[in-house]
Amino acid sequence: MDKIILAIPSKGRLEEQSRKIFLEAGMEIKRAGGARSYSGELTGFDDILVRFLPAGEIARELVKGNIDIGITGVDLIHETAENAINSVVLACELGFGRADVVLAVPDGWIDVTHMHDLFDVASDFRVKHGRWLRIATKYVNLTRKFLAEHGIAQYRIVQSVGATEAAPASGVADLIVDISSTGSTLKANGLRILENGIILQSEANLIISKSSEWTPAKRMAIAQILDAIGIMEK
Amino acid sequence: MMQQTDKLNLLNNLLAMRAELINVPILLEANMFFELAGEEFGRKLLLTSGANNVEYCLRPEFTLAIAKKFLQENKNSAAYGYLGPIFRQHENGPKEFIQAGLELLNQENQDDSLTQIFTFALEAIKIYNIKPVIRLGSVELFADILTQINIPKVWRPRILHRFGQKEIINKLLERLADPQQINAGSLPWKKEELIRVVSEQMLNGGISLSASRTPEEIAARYIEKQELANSKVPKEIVFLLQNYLNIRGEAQKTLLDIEYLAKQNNINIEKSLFRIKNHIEKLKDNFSPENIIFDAGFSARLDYYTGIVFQISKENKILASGGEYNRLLERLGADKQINATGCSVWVNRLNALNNFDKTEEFIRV
Repeated sequence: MDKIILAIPSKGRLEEQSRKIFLEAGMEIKRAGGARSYSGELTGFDDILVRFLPAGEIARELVKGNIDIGITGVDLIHETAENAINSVVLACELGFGRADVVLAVPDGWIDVTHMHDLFDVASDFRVKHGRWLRIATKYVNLTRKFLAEHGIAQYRIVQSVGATEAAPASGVADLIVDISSTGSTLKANGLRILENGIILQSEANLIISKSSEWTPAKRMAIAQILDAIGIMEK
Repeated sequence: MMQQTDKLNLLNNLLAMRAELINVPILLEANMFFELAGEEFGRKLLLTSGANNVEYCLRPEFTLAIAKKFLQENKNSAAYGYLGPIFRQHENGPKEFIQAGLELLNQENQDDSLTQIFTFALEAIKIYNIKPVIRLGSVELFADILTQINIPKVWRPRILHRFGQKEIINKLLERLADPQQINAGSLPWKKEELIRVVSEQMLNGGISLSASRTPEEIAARYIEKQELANSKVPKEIVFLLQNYLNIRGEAQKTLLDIEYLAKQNNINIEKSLFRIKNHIEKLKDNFSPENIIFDAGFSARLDYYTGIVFQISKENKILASGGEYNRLLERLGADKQINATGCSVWVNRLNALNNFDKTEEFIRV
């Protein structure tokens, strides 16, 4: 029968915590060739193939259906495509990897505390500065959706790959949308989260792909795993 | 029965009678759409990056490229027609549509232009034997009211920017009636002091004082916000705007309601009301009165529309839409407003209503 592909973050705390979740449920994840290997197995479940991948790639592959089940952040699922969240089932929040996707402005913008202030600033920006208000982010889809909800259309997104928090200081953008877990990085860069500027509260989830092929045998196997972890199959 | 290609030929003839038919490349630089319409329209584009590091998109509509061409060629006036596929990103992936349309630029009399646009749209729809409904709106009518009511000046452009987005404009109106109170905390109240505090905070974060919003600008808006917090817009004014925006119905009666509302509040809307009435009178030749709707809060969402706007639809499907957008050419670099009137017709939807094409999927021109 077809094997179920389970994807686990390939390094750091996310990997450790993911292993722990399975271990507590009595399942040990073995990484075949040591820490450098990309594949492994779940003891006691012959039908499961474990893959070690970066968290962002797990999100993309879940949405595409190339892996069946995996652990990654919800924010990363949203970022793969506008409606990507419809291609997966969030089976269970795991209580680690917590981080918020937030909108933050320079601390000196004392007149901007809420999204409706940003709405006013965006409205007037072009007339005052001869260009659109610029927002640096790697969360393009989440940003567009959130700003549309607040009626803000007059802005441009500057796609950033790394160190988004430095964009206002380097003059690349006026404000940012970024991930923040403690807020200390933002603070160190002279940025402040708006009072209603939390776009998404994200944490690591056990996520099942809707796009992959679910044969009856695979369904049964997955039900066993979920059951072991203590989740009812939806 | 006539085939769909025959109908396309008829459409083409309709355009050729009135305008110079022009071709717009299918591959366009994406930046011009982002610059004009911002991120919201941007998400509808089918994007691709060139090896030259420039972002391109498949033609999402014709108007913008046509307006640019008009400016580049330095023409005095023009009538352009187009017919061809456009490409847009939809919820479930990309889609190809066929659009036909007309753009009348810098014509002597804009009322004549609008009449021509209506006639073209109706003749186009007639080819498909469809009896549609027309919905009209007027940006100038709303602007007239907005400039004559007693509200702090800063609100006017902000309200006008949101005209056409009912939910969002309503949220803004609620804020007018009940502005956010500011907790000044430890902030000083003198402007010079505020500027000093803001400058300090920005410099601490390594943020330039001139590349984006300046400390001066921030302090000024902070003070403005404080003043607005202390000067609520009277409830009657907010009600007036809310009432106006909710007026919608059979045009003839609706315009009487609007006339009455304006008179009661000493607002002069004579000129813009006269225009819309005239056009409605002419539309009666082609529509029965109950199929002409005036919707006071209706406008296309793009902020370059200035005058009368319209949508022609059948069974809630928009078949044609357009209007007057005198701010477009100015936004693209002209030194003043230049009259522009146009519309586009959704050919796939016409075909779908004719059962040529139930799925609205593509047809080849």
